[in-house]
Amino acid sequence: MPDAPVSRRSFLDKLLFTALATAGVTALSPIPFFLRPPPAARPRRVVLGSSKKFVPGIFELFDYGGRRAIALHDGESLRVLDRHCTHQGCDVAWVAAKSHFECPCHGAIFGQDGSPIQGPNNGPLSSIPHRITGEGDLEVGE
Amino acid sequence: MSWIEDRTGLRSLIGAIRERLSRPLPSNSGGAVLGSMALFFILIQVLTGALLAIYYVPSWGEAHSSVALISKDVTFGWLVRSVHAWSAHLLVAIVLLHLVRVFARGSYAKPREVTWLTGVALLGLLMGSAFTGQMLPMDDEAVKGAEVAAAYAGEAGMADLVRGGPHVGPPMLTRMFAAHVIWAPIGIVLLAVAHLALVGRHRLHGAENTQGSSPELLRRLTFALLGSAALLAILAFVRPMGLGPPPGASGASVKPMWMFLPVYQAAKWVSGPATLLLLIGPPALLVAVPFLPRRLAVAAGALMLTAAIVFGIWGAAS
Repeated sequence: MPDAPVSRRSFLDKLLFTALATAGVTALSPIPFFLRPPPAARPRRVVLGSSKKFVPGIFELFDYGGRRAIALHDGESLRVLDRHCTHQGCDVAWVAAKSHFECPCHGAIFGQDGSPIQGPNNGPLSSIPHRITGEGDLEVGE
Repeated sequence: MSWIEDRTGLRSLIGAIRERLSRPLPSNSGGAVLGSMALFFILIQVLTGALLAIYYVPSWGEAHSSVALISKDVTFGWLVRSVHAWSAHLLVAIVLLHLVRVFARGSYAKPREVTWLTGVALLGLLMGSAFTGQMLPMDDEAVKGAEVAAAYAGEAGMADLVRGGPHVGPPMLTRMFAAHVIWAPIGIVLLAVAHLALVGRHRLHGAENTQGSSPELLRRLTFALLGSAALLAILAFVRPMGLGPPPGASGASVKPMWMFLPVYQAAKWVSGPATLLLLIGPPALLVAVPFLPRRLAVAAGALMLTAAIVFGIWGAAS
């Protein structure tokens, strides 16, 4: 294709327009990064008080590093569970009357030890590391 | 492309705007891009302000930490905030230069009185936005500035109106936030549209009867835009906006933003209702300018400009 003659004026105009477009795109490029919220603070250790208060029927809902969690005694041992459904991450509700968890999104049911009973899931509710301190307190955290 | 054109007329609209912007310029119109630069900074304010609103929490107790989050934790948050703040300073500065230029050339005269008045109202709203915006981060300086503003309003018996209660407290922040993100922006956009429409109608001073077409303005606008963007980027990168300590941290008194320094300095010598005169006098003169005889307007305007510069520098140095 033969080159069409380009006047100096029109060349400079094109150059100017390109500079403007480049500046515009550059200026807008940080926006997608800005919109993504900063990650929540690293989970810290949470002390829930004396481990002796956790007997079957007693539970405590708490936040652990921005995640919703629950501590309860399932009759055999103390459990600390992440309350996010393993299906799509909805917050499961603790139904004290039936001693199980129900997911509000798709009806999955988990037992009080976190094991899946019915409904869509990808395994049991995840357990959060915890220990009993020397003073007998329940401490949650890595 | 013709599918869109048939349904929206977008191309002919762009063509019409282009034609409008291609009308020949009068001679000596190098400063005619100041208004366009102001418009560019207004658009920057709208965009960056809308972004900051995503993270900002307009609550007396949480505002400061939410701004700290933007500045420290959000990716490019410091940049967005710095651009918003610097663009505000540049915007008011450019509008003041625009005002002085239009005044000096007498371009406000018939038939452009209403154009001038919309411009004066825009300046008022922009300075109001600068003030209310400065309070939103709720650092020590912002809260002290709020006290001062409430005291000024008190001279006019309007302290409650500004504070939203008997003291400077949570209701005032809510009011300043509403003024900053809803009322002032709506007013600014409407007035800017009217201002531009009037400039389009009456054309530039000295170009009323010129004919033909020239790419000069578009070319100059592009340069002005690139220059403004570069200046803004340099300021935001080199001097990112800081965040003061939370309120109550220091006993030091604060100075207002540079644009309020003349009034701040002059107010040291007066008290009571005279303070009110200091606040109402300058805008009243600006409103009166197109209706005064040119000589009187020039004399009063020159006096006010000189006083503003002298008191401003004095206030900054004191």
